Amino acid sequence: MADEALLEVADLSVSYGAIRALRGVSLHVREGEIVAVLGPNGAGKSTLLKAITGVVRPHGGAIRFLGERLDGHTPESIVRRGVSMVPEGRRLFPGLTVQENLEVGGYTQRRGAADTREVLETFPILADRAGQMAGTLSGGEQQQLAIARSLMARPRLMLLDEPSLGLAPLIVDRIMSLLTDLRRRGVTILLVEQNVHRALEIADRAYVLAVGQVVMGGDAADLARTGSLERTYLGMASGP
Amino acid sequence: MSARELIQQLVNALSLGSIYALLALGLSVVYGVMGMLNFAFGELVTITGYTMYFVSGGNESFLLMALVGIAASTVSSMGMELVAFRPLRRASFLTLLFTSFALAQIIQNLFRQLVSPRPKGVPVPDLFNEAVTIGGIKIGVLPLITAGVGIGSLLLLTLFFRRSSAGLAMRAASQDFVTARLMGIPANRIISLAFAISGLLAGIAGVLWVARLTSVSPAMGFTPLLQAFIASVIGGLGSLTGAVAGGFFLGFLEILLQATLPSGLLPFAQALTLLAIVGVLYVRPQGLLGRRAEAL
Repeated sequence: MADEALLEVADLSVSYGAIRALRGVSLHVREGEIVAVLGPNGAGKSTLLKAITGVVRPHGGAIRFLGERLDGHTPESIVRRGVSMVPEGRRLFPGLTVQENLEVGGYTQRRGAADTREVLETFPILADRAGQMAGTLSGGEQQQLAIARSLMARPRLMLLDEPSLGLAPLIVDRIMSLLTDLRRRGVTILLVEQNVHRALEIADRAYVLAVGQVVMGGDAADLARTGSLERTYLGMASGP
Repeated sequence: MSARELIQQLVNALSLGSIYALLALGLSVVYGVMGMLNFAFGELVTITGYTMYFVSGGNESFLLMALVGIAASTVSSMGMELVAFRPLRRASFLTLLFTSFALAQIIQNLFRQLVSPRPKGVPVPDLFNEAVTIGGIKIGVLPLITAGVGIGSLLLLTLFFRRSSAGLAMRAASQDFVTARLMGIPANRIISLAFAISGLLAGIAGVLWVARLTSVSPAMGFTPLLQAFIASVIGGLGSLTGAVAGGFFLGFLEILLQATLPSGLLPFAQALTLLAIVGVLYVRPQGLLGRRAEAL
């Protein structure tokens, strides 16, 4: 049971027209882990998450969740299976209140206001602002709301696309400890991050993506310790 | 203008405004969710009108004609989506625009060929031509009914959007369609619902429109479409509250000009209305309630 991966990405290839964004990417996430996907801009990290959530369709390879294929299915059906996404840039619904954003997040659960109370207990800052328009929250609050909204779908696997983007270091601290907290409560996390150090602090394992391929992978602690990570990043920066 | 005339014109403005608000909302609901302007939207009013004409054979009650007309419009709208727009879901904005335009032409010509190129009369109850006296002021029955039905429909729709989970899903989808799908909101069902609501609104507006006009003609959908578009733009494209605000604004503006212009300038009322619209958009290009393009 512990050996079987919750999420398995096998030899995934995604192209946008002539641009090959992902070329034969393979990785896996086990239940209860926090796995980080690192890499420079344009490496294909966001594309990877988009492929998993069904927003883009791969032309090669497979994505399996709990043994069943995800690729080829609609985003809405993938959420129902227990995979929830916190998109890059949060993508909250600006014209809806905090409360309404959460309710939309809980659309697949079909329960309503009662459920939001449970989630709001974990996010007291949001509880205070329940009636406020989502667009008026601060960056850190918005990120919390985006995560809370994703939690409403009761996911087994939560995907986060660059949650630290645009946030002050202190806020990033809070977000990262929030993710560790979520892992303790049984949510498996796949984290795409630019902030290498913070990501490696909370992750169990990590992969490094560059130009659409996995170039490194392993224990987060090992990656953080050795200098090979910096070398890989620097190597990419000075590459063609 | 005396207080008496003011009240009468106020009722007229609310009456015309609510028709425009219904039309603008019907157009905006689809624009918000799909990002497309349905050029065949006016034809839904035409379909409503001709359905009422067909049903009016015997001594049918106006209410029955109205209900069948509204049903026809709703079904037609959902049919349009299934047949003409769903297969082109990923097409560009322009392609969808042209497709809807083609659809409009087809429908117009169907009525032209199958019925007649000339207008056909639709019987309306004598009641509509009468006036009631309220507080010593004579007010037309039709404007009163129109304003009542129009505002009532808008209130019910607001309740739907604010209180129901389907309404919430639609609001979310119209703000960010892709993210809404990531929340599990089913794309096809939401779009069908949007078209259904669009057809319902066109139907109600169509009934009220025909009640004023008392006739139907193949190209009758053009003016409702134009007014819906203008009202939506002035209120802020993509904003549902904006559409309603724009509709009332347009209605009030038209009545105001009709009531206050010297008789020599009356033929220019329409032109002056549009000039005023240009003025508003010059100062506020995003419309009265529109949001400037923003990144979150």
